[in-house]
Amino acid sequence: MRDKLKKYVESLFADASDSPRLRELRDEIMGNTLSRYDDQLAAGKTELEAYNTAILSIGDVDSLLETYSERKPESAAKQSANPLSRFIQSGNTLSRRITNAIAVALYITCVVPVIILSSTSWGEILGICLMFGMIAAATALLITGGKSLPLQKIEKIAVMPRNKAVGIAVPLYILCVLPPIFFDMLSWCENIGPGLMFIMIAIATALLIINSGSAQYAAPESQTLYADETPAIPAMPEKPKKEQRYPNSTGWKIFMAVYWMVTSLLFLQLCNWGFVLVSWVVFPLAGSAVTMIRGVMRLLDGRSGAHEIFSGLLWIAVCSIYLVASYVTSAWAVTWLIFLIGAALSGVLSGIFTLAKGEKV
Amino acid sequence: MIDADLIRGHTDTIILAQLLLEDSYGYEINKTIRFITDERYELKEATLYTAFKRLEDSGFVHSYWGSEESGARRKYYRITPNGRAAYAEQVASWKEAKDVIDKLLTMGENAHA
Repeated sequence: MRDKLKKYVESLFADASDSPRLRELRDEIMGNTLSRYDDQLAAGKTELEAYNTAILSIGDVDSLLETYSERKPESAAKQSANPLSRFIQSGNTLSRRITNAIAVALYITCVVPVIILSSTSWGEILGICLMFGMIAAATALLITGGKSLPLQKIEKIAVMPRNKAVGIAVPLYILCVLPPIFFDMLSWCENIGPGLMFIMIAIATALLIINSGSAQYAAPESQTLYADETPAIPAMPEKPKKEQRYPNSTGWKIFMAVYWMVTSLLFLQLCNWGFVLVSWVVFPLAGSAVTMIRGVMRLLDGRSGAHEIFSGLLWIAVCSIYLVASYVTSAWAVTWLIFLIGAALSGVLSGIFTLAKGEKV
Repeated sequence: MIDADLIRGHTDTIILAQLLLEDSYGYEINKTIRFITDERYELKEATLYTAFKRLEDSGFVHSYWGSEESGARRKYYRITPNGRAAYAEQVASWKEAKDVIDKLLTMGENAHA
C-alpha cells in the first residue's frame, strides 16, 4: 500500500514540467503524505483507511501547480515595473540593517585600539594591527552580508520602536563628549576617554541604523481595517504589500554598503580635521538622506512617500540648526535641546500623516 | 463548524507562529494545528504548500531538507528575522481588528435578548 501511495503522488506530478522547484514540491508532498500514512497506521487504522486519508489530505494539487508555474512570471513582471524604486526599497531588510550597523560600528571603533594602546611603546603597533583587522572585518561583513552572524540574538537586544532607539541614541551622542573631559583630569588614563567616546558613538549609530526601518513595523497601517476587501479571499490583499515591503536587491545592498562606508570614512576624516565634537552629526544626516531617497522612490512608484520625505527634511533641518546654533552661540550646554524639539516635531508629523492616511482611505 | 473563510486570511501568521517555537515541516505543522484547535480546524495541504511558497518568496522563512535516517524525506522550514517582524506586525493588526469587530458585532446581541 505504501508503494501504491508513492506511485499516486508521483502520478500527480506526471504532467508537471521537470523543473527543480516542482521536483522539490513533489518530494515535500511525498514526505508529508507518507508521514501521515505512517501515523494513521500507528494509530491503528487499516492500510486502506490510512491510504484514503493520506490521499484525501493532499487536496487540490492542480491549483497548487498553477501557483508554482504561473505566479512567478506575474510577480516578476509586477516587480520590474519600476526598477529604480525596487532597487531603493529593497535590501532594507532587518538582517541587512543589523549587518550594516555592526560594520559601521566597527569602522567607528577601529581607532579605539590605537588611541588606548598608544601610551605604551609596544601597544602602538598592536593598536594599528587591530585597527586594520577591524576595518577588514567590517568590509567583509558589508560584502558577504554577514550570513554567519547570530542575527537573532542581536535582533532581540537591539530591535525596538524607533522613538526608543532615538531616545537612547541621541543622549549617547550628546554625552559622548563627557568621557574625554572626565578622563582628561585623571592623568593616568587620559586615553580611555576618547576611546569610550568612539564606543558610545558606535553604539548610538548602530542602534539608529538597525531601527531605521522599524516605523514600518511599529505602525501597522491601520488602513487595513478600513480597506474595502472582499471577505471571501482575505488572504490575497495583504500579501502583495508584503512582497513590496521586504524585497531583495543586490544593487541596493551594495549601494547601502558603500554609502555607510563613505559616511564612516567622512566621520573619521572630520574627527581627524578636529571637528571631534560635532562630526557624529554626519550619521543622522546620512540616515535622513536615505529616508528621503526612499520616500521619493515610493512616490515615483505611485505609493505614499511624503511622510518619509518630510521626516528626512525635518531631521536634516534639525541637524543643520543644531550645528549653526552651536557655532554661532557657542552655547553647547544648551543647543542639544534642539534635538528634543526635533523629536517632538517628528511625533507631530507622524500623527498628522496617520490622520491623513485614515481619512484618505 | 468553523467558517474556514474567516481563518484563511491568517494562514501565513498561523504557520509563522508555529515556526517561532521550532523548525517544522508541513505534516507536523498541520498536526499541531489540529491538536491545538481540538480537531476543529486543519489546513488543506495545498493551502499549506501555497502558504510556504509565499512565505519563502517573501523571505519570511527558509527551508532545508532534514536528514532522516529512515522513512520519508522532510522539508523543514525556519523563520527568518523578517518573518518574526512580519509575525509581530500581523498579530498586532489582528488584535486591533478583533477588538474593533468584537465591538461592532456584539452591539446587537443585547437588543435581541
